Amino acid sequence: MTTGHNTTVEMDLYKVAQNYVDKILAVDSDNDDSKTIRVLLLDSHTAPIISLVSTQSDLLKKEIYLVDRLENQSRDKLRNLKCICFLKPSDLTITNLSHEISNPKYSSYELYFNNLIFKSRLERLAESDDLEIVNTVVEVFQDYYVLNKSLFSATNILNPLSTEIQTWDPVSLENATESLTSLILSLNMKPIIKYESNSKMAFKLANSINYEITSNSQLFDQLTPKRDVSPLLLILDRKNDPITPLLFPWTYQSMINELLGIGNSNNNVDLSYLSNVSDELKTVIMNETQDPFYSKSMYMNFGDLSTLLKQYVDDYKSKTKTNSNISSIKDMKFFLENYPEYKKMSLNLSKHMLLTSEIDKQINSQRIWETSEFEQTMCSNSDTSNHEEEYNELESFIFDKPRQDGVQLAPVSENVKLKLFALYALKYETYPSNKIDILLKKINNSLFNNFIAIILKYAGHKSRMAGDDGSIFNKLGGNITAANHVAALFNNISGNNSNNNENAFMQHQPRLSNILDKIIKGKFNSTPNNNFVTVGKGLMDGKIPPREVVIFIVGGVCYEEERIVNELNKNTDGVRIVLGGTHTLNSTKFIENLKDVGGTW
Amino acid sequence: MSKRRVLGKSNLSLDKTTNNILSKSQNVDLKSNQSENEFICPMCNLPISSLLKLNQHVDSVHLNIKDNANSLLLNSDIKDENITHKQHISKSSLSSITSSSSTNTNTNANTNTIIATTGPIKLPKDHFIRPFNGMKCSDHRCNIKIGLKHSAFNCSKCGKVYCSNHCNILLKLNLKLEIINQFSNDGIITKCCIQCLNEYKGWNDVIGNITIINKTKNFQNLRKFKNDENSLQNLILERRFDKIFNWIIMNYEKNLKITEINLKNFEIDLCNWKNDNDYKNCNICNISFGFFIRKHHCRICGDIVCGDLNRRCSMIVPLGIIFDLMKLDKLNDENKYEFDKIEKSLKNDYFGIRICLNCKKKILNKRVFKFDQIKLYENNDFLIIFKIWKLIFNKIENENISKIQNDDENLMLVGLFQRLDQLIKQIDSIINNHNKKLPNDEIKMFNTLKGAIANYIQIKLPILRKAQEEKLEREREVLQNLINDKPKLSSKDIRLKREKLMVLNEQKFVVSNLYEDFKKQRRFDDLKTLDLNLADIEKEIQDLTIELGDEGFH
Repeated sequence: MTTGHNTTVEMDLYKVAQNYVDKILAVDSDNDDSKTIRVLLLDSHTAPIISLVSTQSDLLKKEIYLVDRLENQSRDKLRNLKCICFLKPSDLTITNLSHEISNPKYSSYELYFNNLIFKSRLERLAESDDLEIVNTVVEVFQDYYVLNKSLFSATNILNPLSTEIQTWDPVSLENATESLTSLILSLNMKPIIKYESNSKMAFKLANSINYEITSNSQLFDQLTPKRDVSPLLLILDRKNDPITPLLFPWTYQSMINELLGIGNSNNNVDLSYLSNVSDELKTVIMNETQDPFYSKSMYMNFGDLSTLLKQYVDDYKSKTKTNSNISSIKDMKFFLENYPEYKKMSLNLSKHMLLTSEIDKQINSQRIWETSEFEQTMCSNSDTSNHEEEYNELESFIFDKPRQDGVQLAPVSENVKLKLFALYALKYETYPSNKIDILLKKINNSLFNNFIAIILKYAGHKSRMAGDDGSIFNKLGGNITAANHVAALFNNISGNNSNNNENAFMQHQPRLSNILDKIIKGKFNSTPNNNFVTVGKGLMDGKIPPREVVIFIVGGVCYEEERIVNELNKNTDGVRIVLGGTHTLNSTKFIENLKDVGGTW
Repeated sequence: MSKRRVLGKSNLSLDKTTNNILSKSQNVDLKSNQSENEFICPMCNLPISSLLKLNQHVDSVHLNIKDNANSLLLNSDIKDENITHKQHISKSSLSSITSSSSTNTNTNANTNTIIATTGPIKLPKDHFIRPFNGMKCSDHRCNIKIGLKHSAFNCSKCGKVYCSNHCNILLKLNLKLEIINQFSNDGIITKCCIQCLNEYKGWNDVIGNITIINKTKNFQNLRKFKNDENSLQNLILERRFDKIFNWIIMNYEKNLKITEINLKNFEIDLCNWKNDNDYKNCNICNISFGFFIRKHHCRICGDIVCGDLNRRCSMIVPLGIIFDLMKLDKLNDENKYEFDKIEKSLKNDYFGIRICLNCKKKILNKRVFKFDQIKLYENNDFLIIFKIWKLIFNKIENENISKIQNDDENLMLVGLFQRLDQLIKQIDSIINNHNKKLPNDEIKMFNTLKGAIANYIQIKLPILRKAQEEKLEREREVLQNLINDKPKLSSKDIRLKREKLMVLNEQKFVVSNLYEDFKKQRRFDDLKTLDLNLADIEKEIQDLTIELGDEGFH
């Protein structure tokens, strides 16, 4: 027996997606070459899904020479070409598709739907296919955005909240249900569904998923291979942890998202607003499978990142040494032979240089070093004895007071002030002598008045989960085992220079990590827990804790939470966790979401 | 080494063991656990509902204890050296053992089978590897040495020895040591290693195994159902088209000229026209008829429709086109010649038949579609170029371009790459051909193809060039040995020099392209070095051409 058998199949949504793409674009081997050129038709839903997981050259390898949208009416007739359709079986798309196949532009159609299709819609399609040109109809399950190996988000949700508190925006609920259904099907699982008992939104989603499962029970019961332990789908509500999206994160991916914004539907960062950016870098794609440096550094903190980046630069320099002083034909030849590789490398390098320098610039200009330290100390404990000090510091940020030594620093931006105030309000809401109202009066700004009221309604003491499961002011390493685990790991990664878990900027521990710890340790199952309710009667919890866990956060997921999940996946044997949310958040998006709808709460 | 740990008070039958070994630390455990309803096994954190069960769990999972009574009953020849405490089994469970073991004795004497009504069953442990001092944990990531500090744990499934950290996967195993569902009754939950989990289908195959539901059959059945229904309805219409077709042939055969009058007569015979007065709206677009929107009859179905050209509810289809489409079904060698002639004669006519949109959809669309497929397939630039590209691609891929054996191979490869280059030029000329306007989508496809080919050349050419260099080097050495004192150029030498010249020319081309690029990007610093190099290359080219003299390329 070989001991090298330790190949745990790691959690990788990219692989799942790749399997589907391969299936969709599979080339019939018995066809002759010329017939294999194909057209790929997508719709507005599936186009981002595909572009998140594959590149144009991937498609070219599969002889896809033309990609177009079904909605595009000005497509030319190319009736000598085959067509592959990857579409969402929505009402509109089916209508468009019926029209397309009754008046076909291509010679034959293979239909791949990214979710379960209703029978009535299939009938409509069958009716319009009087030319009998549809030769394949297949359901594949890829109705969600793959953002990281273990991070996904529902499709097309900008803000799941509606103008009534704790209520879904109906379209978002539908999208979230569809995305989650397709996710669990793509992972081949019929999970036990749990949700947070204090959240109406989580309750609604959980039940709507359960409805999908029960109404397709035949399908779900046939899924193979059978497991010994049922997977768990846990639906959480953002309102139970409003802290994590408000804090400034210090790891690479999170920082990019926080300061520059990673597009939810395309993983793109838009840098076109910067001056002196070459065309190739106007938008950059943050895809860990296509960018080895990124995959190495995405969860690193700022310090380690800069070390790694420096290494990368040195590496590049030494490799392209001949480049800088080409003095002979030989040098030149060497350069030319490796030119494509260099070009790729230098492009990648300049991408990360650009990103990090931009992050660095913003951190310094927005005084994030100071604000982050303050918010971390405030939020990593629920101890209210430091109220006076913390209040004074908050005030000095909000009113841009000069430092003790009299130096007047650049003012903190309005947005950051709002964040800091919100964090203060959340922490000291129940503290009898808090100064929320006094400070609000002092600031006298309707923006602050409104938002603080909204966030306290949304995620204040009364709305949040009570007890241990609800604690949000956690300190890294201050909690039980798994938290320690992550802390220890974190310190390992960050090298020797950080003296134990005393990194002032990463003290706070997201609530998710406590929950995951409980799940893995099986404490979730054993203790009667009224905070997390199982959907469906007669389902009991087993003695073995679930090994496959899908977490879905209603109200948005943060990249910092993905970092925790990634660490756990990497370092815990026999655990596979996938994290998802209605959409991805940074502090700006979180605040905007609340401001957009919270006015009427 | 096995340690016996039993917690708390147990029922009478087990009190002897418990009294012996209730240590202080475990008392602490007990206190903390008592607050909850359940007990946690101190060794594996497994939650257990009662103390009795905890005892049994500890015995069966964490201790290598074999029951005397049991081994006697089963005539088991295995004796465990580690047995330190004997266990008394209450009468009730004993009776159940006898009843169950009687069924199992025959199957396998080595499996110590007890299916007690209350207690857990026991898994076989014969496959356990016995730990020794200084043994390493079997997990390859782990460096822990088994000994006093780290006690040994056997994975219940594979039996290998692990440290406590790497034998912590909870699995429910049955007596055959297969992993079973955690809710099934005939197994027990025990600790195993990660390897055993990784080999389990319900864990390992989960990710590679994606759910795909093929609904093609389903769809085809639905379609068949609908199409059968429609085709019956369409049969009458189909017949009428046949009549038109036959009428055209008849006219031709009898050498009759088609005139407006005989066409009209024929049309009236074709179907019953609906009464004008019954209809006030177009049958298709529902527009109400009036002075500007006139009523028209479809000659195929007799419906009354409007004749608006924008709405396309009906239109006059030339006989030539109808004939063209209808002949598709009836094409065989005999009448092909004949048909061509008829077509030619119809081309000069301007006669047509008014057909409504519905009839066109039902009958003609299918034929237009077929027609297009055939027509476009025969003569399509893209397909031709694509085919050539694939051919060359496959040929190059089949060759090992990083090592060139002989001149023929080299020439062939160079030729292939030249062909690729030509293909790109060909594509350019097709795209830029203003006489024949290509559809936009086709231009898009050409551009993608061009990009793909260019990219391929960019990746592969340096490798080829390197291989060429190597080959030249090898040959040069051989030559040097052969004609050490003959300065005159041999034919081989000429070829070599020619090739070198070619390579240099190519380089010059690439460098000057690069030069232009840099110029555009305003990287003037790099330009200087490039400038020098260009001069270098040019000088060498010049030298070579002089050397080759008349033997050079023309």
